[in-house]
Amino acid sequence: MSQWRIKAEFPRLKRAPFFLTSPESPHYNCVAWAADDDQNVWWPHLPPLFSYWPPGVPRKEDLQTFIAAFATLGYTVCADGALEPGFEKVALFADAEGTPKHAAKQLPNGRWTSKLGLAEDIEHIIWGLEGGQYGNVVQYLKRKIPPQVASKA
Amino acid sequence: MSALAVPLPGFETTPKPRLAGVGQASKTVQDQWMRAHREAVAPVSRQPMWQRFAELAATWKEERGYSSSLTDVLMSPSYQRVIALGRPVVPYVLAELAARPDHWFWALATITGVNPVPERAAGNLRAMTKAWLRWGDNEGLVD
Repeated sequence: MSQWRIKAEFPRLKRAPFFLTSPESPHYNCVAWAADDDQNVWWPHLPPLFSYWPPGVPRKEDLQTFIAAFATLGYTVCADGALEPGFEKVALFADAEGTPKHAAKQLPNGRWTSKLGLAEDIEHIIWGLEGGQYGNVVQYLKRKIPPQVASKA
Repeated sequence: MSALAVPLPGFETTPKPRLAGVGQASKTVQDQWMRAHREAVAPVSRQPMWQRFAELAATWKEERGYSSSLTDVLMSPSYQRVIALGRPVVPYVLAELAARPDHWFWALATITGVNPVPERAAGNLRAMTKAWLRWGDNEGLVD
């Protein structure tokens, strides 16, 4: 889809520069991308036949379930999305009812990367994606950067 | 006659004034013929299955927009209308899956009542596509 369509869906991106960083792909979604997986669609959809969800984590569309899913990767809740050396962060978005709608991952430069549904990836500031169909950030998570990732950086 | 008064092809109006000597029976026949003609020219109900599916598939991709929720993506109206087309649409869904892999698995499983995807492959588009195309091949539904 086009940058025009992205700006229409996420009005703050009209004022917050963003970059397309991939072509469209139905092979993974935002939660998978935030979990460093570009081969599966992660969602607690029921029945559990059509999407991946970490084994042992309930398939419920609520915030605690998403926090539990990222906990399987070593993430814990944290206060904000400020860049912290040695840590990587994930932001969970939810709508007004508290239903999770999106996840974004912080980049080493402090900006964020998001897979927009089954469409493109973008690089953006976190504020730019709030106020649209994903709602707002309701929880930040962080973990120590795994050694193999840290050595590449 | 102005351009606006020219009837669209397939939507011709009944000739006026009524012709002398034309009875109600012949008028009824004429009305029915014209209605049949209209439906033959632009019928939703007579669109070939491939065309109905192609239109719904395109609309589904528009409707899902940037939704990250697989639940929202699969519950969108056009996707549900594909499911409502039933068993005759399955060969076209499989052909689309082969050409442009996408999340047609819920529709296929709901229509056919089977799920050939192994549990460990849930969420992996390539593996799920492969499993469904193999199933379609075994069923004689894939060219």
